[in-house]
Amino acid sequence: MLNSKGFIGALLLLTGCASIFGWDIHAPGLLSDGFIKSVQPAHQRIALYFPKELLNVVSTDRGGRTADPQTYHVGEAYGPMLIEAFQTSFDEFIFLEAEPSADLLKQYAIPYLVVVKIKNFNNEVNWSGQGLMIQTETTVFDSNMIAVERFESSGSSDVKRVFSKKGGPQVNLNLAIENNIMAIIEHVQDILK
Amino acid sequence: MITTVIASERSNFLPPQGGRKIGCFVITLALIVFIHPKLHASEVFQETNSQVIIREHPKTGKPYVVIASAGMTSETAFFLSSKKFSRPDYRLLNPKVKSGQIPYDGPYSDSKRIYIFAATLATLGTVGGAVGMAILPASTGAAATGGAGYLAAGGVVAAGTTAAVVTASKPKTDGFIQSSKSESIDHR
Repeated sequence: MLNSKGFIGALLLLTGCASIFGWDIHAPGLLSDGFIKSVQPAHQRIALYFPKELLNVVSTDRGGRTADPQTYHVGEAYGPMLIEAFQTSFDEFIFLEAEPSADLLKQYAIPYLVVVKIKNFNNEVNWSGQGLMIQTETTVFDSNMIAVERFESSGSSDVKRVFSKKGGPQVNLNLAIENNIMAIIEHVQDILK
Repeated sequence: MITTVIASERSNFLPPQGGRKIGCFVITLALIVFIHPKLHASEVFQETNSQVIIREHPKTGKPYVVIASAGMTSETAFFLSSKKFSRPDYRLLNPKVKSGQIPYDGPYSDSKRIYIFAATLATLGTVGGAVGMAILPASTGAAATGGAGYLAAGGVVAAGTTAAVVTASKPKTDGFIQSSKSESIDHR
């Protein structure tokens, strides 16, 4: 049985040792008009694959000791944005939900497969604002499932007074993701030229 | 006109055996169409146990082609959320722009979301392993690494030469800094 001192102690532990305030940040998960206008679609059949677990990637990096707790739902926005980017950037885009294999690629006459995974997510919060950076690793396979290119991409966004605006942290996360995806698309289009 | 008459006359004089032959041909053709997988849309291909389905993008509604495992349908959920919002306007991030000046209808957090559950876990000491981790797949570690053969296969790239660096940097626009950068690790 918990006595009154124990109860107060537990309450202090609950409220004192860990902040009860925090930010739960979901990005809109859509590319901006700027992205859509700036990308030239390539006349290429290409498949994209990422494991479904990518959609579950979250970061609890609060970006500084004095900052409020923050939870970034990175994968939830990254997946739809990546698919939209490939839809926009390649004429014949195929998304693979099935496990990729050489047989599968040959069966559907897919010359290239792009596999993306999230490697890192950085958050830096200071008095003036916040910087976010997302880093990914991409591998491009040919139809025999032989890797022809592997590259790292990063996208960042560093903004002042971001937390004081409605939607500020969400749009900041969206922009960091979009910049990362832009780097991936440009790189893939470059090597397939 | 003459041709039509001749044709109709011919059909009238078709022997009973000819009618049976046509019937057999139609049935055989129908069987071929139904049995042969490549003549079917969204038929499961036995060799790879896969099928083609169409999905709608969860945010834009734009359809795209999916190759899925057998048994999946376009109704089987793939994405966690399908809430639709307007496209983000990054002018919102300009420090000179005040809150509400640029319309925003996306999700937001007003910092009053309580983390009592997290605090409870922290007190119990169970969250210790998670604090400080930059990236946490919400599912278990086993699920996160599941089926990663081709993900790890990135290391298979032949001849580890580092070149073909692609960099696209946007140093400063609209009062905030952003960058977009890509660099080859291996390429053939």
